[in-house]
Amino acid sequence: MKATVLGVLSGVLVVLLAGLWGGGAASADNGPHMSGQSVTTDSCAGCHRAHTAQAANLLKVSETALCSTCHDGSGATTMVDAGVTTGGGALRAGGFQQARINTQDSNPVGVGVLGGGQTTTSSHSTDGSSQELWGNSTPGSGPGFAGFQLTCISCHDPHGNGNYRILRPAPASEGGATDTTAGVNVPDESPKVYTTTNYFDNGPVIMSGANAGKSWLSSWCAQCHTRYLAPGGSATTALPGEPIFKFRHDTQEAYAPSCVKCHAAHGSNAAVSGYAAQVAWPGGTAVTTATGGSRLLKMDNRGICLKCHPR
Amino acid sequence: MTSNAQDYPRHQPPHLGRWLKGAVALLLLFALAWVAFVALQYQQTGKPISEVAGIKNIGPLAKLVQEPPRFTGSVWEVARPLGVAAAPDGSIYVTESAGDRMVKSFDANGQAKASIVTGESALSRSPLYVAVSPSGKVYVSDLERHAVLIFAPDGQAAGQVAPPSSEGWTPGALAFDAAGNLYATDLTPGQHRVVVIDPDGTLLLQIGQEGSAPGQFEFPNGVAVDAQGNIYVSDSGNGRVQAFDKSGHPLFMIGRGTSKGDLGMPRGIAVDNGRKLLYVVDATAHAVNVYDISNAAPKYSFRLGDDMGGESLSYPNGVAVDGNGRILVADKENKRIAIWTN
Ligand code: HEC
Ligand code: HEC
Ligand code: HEC
Ligand code: HEC
Ligand code: HEC
Ligand code: HEC
Repeated sequence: MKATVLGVLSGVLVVLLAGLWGGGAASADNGPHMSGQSVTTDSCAGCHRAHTAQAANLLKVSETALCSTCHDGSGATTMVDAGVTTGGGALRAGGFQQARINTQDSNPVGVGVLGGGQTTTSSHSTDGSSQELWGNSTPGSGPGFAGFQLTCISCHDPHGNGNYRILRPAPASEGGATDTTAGVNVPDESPKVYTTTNYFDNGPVIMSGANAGKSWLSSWCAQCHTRYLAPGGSATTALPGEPIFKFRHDTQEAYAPSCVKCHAAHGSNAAVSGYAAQVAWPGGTAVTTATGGSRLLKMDNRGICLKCHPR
Repeated sequence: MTSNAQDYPRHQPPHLGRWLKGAVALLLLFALAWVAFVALQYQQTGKPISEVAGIKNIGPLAKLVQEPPRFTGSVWEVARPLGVAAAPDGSIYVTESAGDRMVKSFDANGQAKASIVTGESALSRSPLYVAVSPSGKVYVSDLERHAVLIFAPDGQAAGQVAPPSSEGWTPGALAFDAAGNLYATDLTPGQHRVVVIDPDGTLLLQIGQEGSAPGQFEFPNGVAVDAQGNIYVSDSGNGRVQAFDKSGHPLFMIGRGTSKGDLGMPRGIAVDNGRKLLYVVDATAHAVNVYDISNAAPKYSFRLGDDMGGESLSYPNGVAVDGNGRILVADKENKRIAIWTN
């Protein structure tokens, strides 16, 4: 009898937990990132153990270590450091250590892929070190939010949520950093394709309604980089009260490029030299590292501009 | 589970109705309180209820079958090691997953020897696991090369293992039996499996396919074979170990869970034939579980790592047992090989 009650109770518990963390919708987030009905408490044990159960108290670096346990190719097909799948396809997000973006592609409407990996020149941090979150917070409040600790989990929800690439709807909740809205739920694609043959792409696009044609990812990236989301006319109309991000390239409109058309989400192998390598950080801080100027861009120097504004 | 239920009468006498309703309501209240309590504990501590301090663990204490081995030192200067293997002469081979991505080699005392490289540059190689054949040749699986590459002990390239399928493969974990047959896991998307290949390159046996049913695998990251030819597979994505006899018939499973001896993310696996022990690395438990396999059913025995002599591991991945009763653990995030000695 006791066993039956316990059995029923643990059933209830599973349902409750699944409801709490799964967000309800039955969806296939792939791998162990399962939101919805297929969740069992046992599947939690893959990541939550005696030790990692204290994940919240663990150093940030070990959260990323958890992800790399599989995403190095030994537990998932996507190898995020190498920017490639185990099958050899180039990852859409680029890579953290190597990437395969053909950053010299002369095709006017394309940025192709390379046959082999090149060392990245810039990437989002994943080690939880303190970083300047460029453009976060309100206009006129300096270049960004200082001391943001970025890991994989800042952007992705390890428990799955049915969104595109399990992206968190509101990533910038850490330590007082601000986000613009209640959150951006980027709808998932079906079938899922992690690789690309053309990096010159806006990513998932809003299908219908007043915002049809606009890129989801521009709004999503701007959950952290709030002041980079620029509506039509931003190139000629200054952002009120803003000394730093005054005139901005449109990034929000259907005709304008999305953030990921110019930038790789994880990291890029673009080379920068000459003036491009010396463009200061917002606020005027000089670039110190030799490769520091590449800013996750998908083409060498400012080659990305020439795709749409040929000389 | 439900055998006791039969002791109760099927139909309650009518006068018990009110009492029963009350009891059921009370029970439900209890259930709700308990669920809320467990959920709250989990929310706050992130620990399953059985591991929350102050709540007594009612499971039987694990009995030690023998003195567990002692931690005796580390070999450093390996970049996020994934795999480790011991040669008959006591040499140690280690696959690196970061930095120069080499296969580092050390003598039995931990002195560095010539490294092995599986591709021209760090950008064109990605060594995964390593095993040493009975004749001392070093076999390395490489994700970038999609091959098992063969080397002489001094690092001289000596060809590669013929793929078991004409379309190629994505070899992962490796092990040898005494006859020199190679046991390998195949991580080719959509067709995860275990293959046994004889020294001439003939496919002798193939077990399983990708999936979660018994006999199927998700990203198997460890394979070991004992003196009887029984095969032990770390079915990492499904969080379990599956054992098979030499013809591939299932023997037992060690499953995923949070109780003592349960697994989370099993990776490297190794057998100590003399002591009849099975070593299974549990990467997310940061420990190596050790099971007594002298009987048909495996018995959890002890564990290396967090609760052993204070020596902690961080995302350990590979394990090997050498001829001198030493246990070598590829301690990935601590960037070392941790060594225990019997
Ligand atoms: C892919 C690995 C993974 C799996 C599988 C997983 N978790 Fe987590 N979980 C994490 C990580 C990493 C964190 C810490 C980061 C965070 O706060 O979101 C975490 C945090 C938590 C937390 C505390 C923080 C929060 O989100 O409020 C709870 C509670 C939790 N997980 C419950 C579960 C349950 C229940 C399951 C099974 C249904 C599960 N997890 C499965 C990786 C995982
Ligand atoms: C147990 C292995 C494992 C661990 C640990 C793990 N993943 Fe995954 N993950 C997978 C697999 C398998 C997939 C399916 C796609 C593939 O094969 O790469 C996947 C898919 C994903 C995807 C794509 C989701 C989609 O919408 O299709 C993202 C993003 C991701 N993982 C991020 C993470 C992050 C962040 C962590 C660390 C908190 C993590 N993963 C930890 C195995 C794992
Ligand atoms: C700054 C936010 C951010 C961080 C940090 C981040 N990701 Fe991502 N990730 C993304 C976005 C955005 C995409 C989708 C890219 C696209 O479609 O262009 C993505 C895509 C992915 C994918 C799908 C394959 C691909 O390349 O498109 C995987 C797997 C993944 N991320 C895992 C990880 C892991 C593991 C980490 C930590 C090591 C991590 N991510 C860190 C934003 C991030
Ligand atoms: C038209 C191409 C393009 C688009 C679209 C674009 N960027 Fe950029 N971004 C650049 C260039 C070029 C730089 C290098 C700095 C410079 O030249 O001002 C840069 C730099 C940055 C930086 C580094 C700090 C800095 O200003 O130097 C951040 C952060 C950034 N972009 C975020 C975003 C976000 C978020 C979006 C989408 C809302 C976006 N970008 C859209 C081209 C683009
Ligand atoms: C969770 C918050 C967060 C999100 C979401 C986010 N970023 Fe960032 N980003 C950061 C932080 C923090 C930095 C500071 C540099 C670092 O990470 O090392 C940064 C830096 C950058 C830089 C400058 C990189 C350099 O150091 O050269 C670019 C460009 C950029 N982000 C673009 C993007 C784009 C495009 C997206 C959407 C795909 C995005 N970011 C989403 C937090 C975020
Ligand atoms: C994907 C195509 C695309 C890319 C790449 C691109 N632009 Fe643009 N750009 C546009 C479009 C479309 C407009 C028109 C926007 C409008 O009218 O509001 C525009 C407008 C401009 C304007 C304002 C012109 C005006 O009079 O309004 C400038 C300046 C500019 N771009 C510079 C750049 C620079 C610098 C880069 C590289 C960092 C770049 N663009 C990359 C598409 C692109």
